[in-house]
Amino acid sequence: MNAFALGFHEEEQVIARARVCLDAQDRDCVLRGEFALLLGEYEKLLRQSMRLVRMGDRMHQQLADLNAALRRKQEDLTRLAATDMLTGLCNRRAFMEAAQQALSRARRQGAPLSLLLIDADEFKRVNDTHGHAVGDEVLRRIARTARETLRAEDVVARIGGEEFTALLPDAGPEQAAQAAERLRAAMERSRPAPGETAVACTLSIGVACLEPPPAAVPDVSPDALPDGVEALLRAADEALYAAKASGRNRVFLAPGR
Amino acid sequence: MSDLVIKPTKSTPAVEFLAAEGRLLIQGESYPEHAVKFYEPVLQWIREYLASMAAPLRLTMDIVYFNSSSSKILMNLFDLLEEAAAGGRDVRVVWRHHEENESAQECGEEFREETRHMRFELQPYGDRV
Repeated sequence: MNAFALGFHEEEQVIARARVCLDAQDRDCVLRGEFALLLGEYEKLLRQSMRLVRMGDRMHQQLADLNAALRRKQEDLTRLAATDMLTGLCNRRAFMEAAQQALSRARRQGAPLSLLLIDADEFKRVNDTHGHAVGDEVLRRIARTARETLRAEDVVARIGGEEFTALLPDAGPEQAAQAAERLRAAMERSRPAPGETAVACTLSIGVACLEPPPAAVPDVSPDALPDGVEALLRAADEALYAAKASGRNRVFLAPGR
Repeated sequence: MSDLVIKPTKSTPAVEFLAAEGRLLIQGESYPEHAVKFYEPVLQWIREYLASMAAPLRLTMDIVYFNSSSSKILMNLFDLLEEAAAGGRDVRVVWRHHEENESAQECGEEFREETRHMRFELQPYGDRV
């Protein structure tokens, strides 16, 4: 980059004029030596300034690039920390966070919120009979089926060995039960992906809903309501237990509260 | 003449000047709050070495990152060596940089362009094993 590109063109012009001026002086002019010295230093200073600017710019660019790379890595790590590595779904930690946010939002907007607790039926037998690799395939199939069956805004997570959960914003009991039934039926019908072992696996699903409090209840802050994520999970767990107890491969809805 | 050894910190490089061998090393990152203060003993040592010893001087620079005030001081330092080289001293500077660190290489080139009498070599290196 030249002096003009760096914004030093006026300095260059001053130097050119000074050169002309210096050359026009008599050899025996008293101040000629001093003037030449000054001009030499000025030229050097200009050169150095331009180098400093160029080097500074390079270093800043390098730092900015490193910064961007660091940010990307940080985002990768954040994503990894929230992801269940086997299925690519949210993990338990990420799910609890999402559930907390969804709950706050549902309360704020007076909207319903539903939670499905999904468990693979007799999964232990799959693992014992076919080995863990096949068990993992089945878990991935469940994840795939849930992603395909549920809506894009539903948060699906793997929260335990063969236990999954889905958070359905703006879905009341009826809608949530229908979604759960769709998922159950889809899994029953599902075929393994090419290259996967053909192992049948069904799902039992417990459904719990948080319904908006009756409109205009005076003096009741939404936060005062007892339903937290844990309570919702507990209710869904009870419904799941009932689904298992009544023969598996079915959807049970927790009693409304 | 005694050696000059300064341990590196987060913002200042390691300095190892061995008088008997005429070997000088500045290595690390350089963004001290007061660059003039940090480099004053370094420049002073070089001035004394040049004045009291006639042996060749070899300076190895291995600086990953430096701030603007450090680069101005480094220019002064190279000026000092350039002057000695112009006077006939055997002076050699080796500017080491990682082969993939383009900015360190280009900075080495900037410093080199300002020199005429001393030898100023750029020495890329790969990942250290």
